[in-house]
Amino acid sequence: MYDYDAIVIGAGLGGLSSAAILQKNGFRTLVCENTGQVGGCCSSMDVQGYRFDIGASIVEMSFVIDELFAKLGKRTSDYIDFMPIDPIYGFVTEDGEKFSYPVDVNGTREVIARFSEEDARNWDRFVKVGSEAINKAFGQVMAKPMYTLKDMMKVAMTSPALVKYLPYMIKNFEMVLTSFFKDEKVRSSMSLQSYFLGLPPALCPGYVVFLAYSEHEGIFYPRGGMIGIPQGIARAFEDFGGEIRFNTRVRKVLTEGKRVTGVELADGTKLTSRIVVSDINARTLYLDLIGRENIPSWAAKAMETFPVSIPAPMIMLGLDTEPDLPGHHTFCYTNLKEMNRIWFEDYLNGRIPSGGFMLISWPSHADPSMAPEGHHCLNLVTFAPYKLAEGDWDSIKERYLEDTLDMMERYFHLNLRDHITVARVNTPYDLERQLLHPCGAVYGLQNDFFSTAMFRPRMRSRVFQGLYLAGASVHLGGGVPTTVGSGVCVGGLVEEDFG
Amino acid sequence: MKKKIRAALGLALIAGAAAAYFSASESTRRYIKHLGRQVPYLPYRYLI
Repeated sequence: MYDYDAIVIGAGLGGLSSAAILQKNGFRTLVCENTGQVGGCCSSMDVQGYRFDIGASIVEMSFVIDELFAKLGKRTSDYIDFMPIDPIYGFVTEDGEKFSYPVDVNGTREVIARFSEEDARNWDRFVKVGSEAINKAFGQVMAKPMYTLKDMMKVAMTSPALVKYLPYMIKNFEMVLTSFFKDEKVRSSMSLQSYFLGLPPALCPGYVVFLAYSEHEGIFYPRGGMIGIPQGIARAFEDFGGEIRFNTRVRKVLTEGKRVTGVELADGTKLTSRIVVSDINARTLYLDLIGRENIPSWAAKAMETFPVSIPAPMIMLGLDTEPDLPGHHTFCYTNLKEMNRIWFEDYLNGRIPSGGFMLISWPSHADPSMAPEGHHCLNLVTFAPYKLAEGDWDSIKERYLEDTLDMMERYFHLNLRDHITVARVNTPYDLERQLLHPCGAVYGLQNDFFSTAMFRPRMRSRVFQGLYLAGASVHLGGGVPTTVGSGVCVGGLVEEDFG
Repeated sequence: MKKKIRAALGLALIAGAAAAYFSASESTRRYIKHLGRQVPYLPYRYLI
């Protein structure tokens, strides 16, 4: 007799989504969470009256969350209070110009026309192609397993539009973007999305460009912070009778022959189950929790071929004034070339990017309850290497904060120094310690064309029967819809195998 | 004769690919190089 039917390691979005489906389908499920709260990279933390998001800052393609709740026989709105965000992005360029793209595609067209009439016409074409690409092709595969050639064929048969968009999958982000837009300012304003996969425009798969359209179908922020999403899913899971244990670290996944048999906790407690779902980094799962000595050598070699994604250090600022920013999300940028340069010249050489771009998230703009009355909170997100050529993150924390504030002043003419009441830096080391992401890699494994879908670790393990993987390391990589989608897939796979 | 034709075709193919690579933009070359480096890993990645 097993202690549980299923044990889920990690209460991130992938883990909770799969847990909720399993529990609903009659599997007695336990979620073991290392920290004191749900969400992993989609959560929030309270600091001196301010609430800051950790990791994810917005939701797009929310239909995947609706699909999850539909599978649970529930309505999303009963569990998560989503607020629509408009404009989608504000922009601050290095010459100090500020503008924003509204959700309305015609409104965005008018903004683009100010820079280039030709690109305003190109925007119409982009909207037409993007709408079909998202709704008939890429959006269709969010919650469908695609880790074998057979799966890929099946998906192509059910979503034939995918075949039509194959060239966008083979080309890189920059090639697709520049095939649509000619004006440098317009191109650069739509290049941020490549870093949503943790890659520069030159290395990111081309289909990601269409995220710049998908956002115009609506982006949302959950009331109470990004943690509202995992909290909503956790509540649904608990409504079905599921159990979450906080501050419970799994030290080992127990195996017997080619089967998983449960987990061992950090305090030595052994819990048995016939199913284990991992929502942690797949490298950590196979190489550490199961152990290199317990897996075939080809599996260890396979896991070693995956580099982890770029870390995203974050600076959280509490302000005693309203910042002069165009919207919930502000993208400060110089140009497309610079966004590649920071990867090839800075990141790969262990240097913290000296300029280029930054994403500022302003949660209290959408939800004033995120900060004390009259105050505001900001999250400044950049990308930087884990291993630094000089020094380490613990010793340069203060300097990093100062340098980032300098960069905001120098490049983007944003001076916040006099209004800062709280400043906290979340370095890649902090993310590694808090969330157990190796190298602070919030996107899990690197996510380029040859490490996605069927070239990413399988959600149904081939190494051990009863072992399933969800989260940013599998399926389509990091992000709110993709990790929720991975959980939905795992729920379906377990049902196929054990239902 | 057949062997010679095959060799010539192979050479032409390699030369064509090299010409296409070197006439491509820097961004495209970086992308091809990045993906090319990962080709040997693909069988492992597919299996895991």
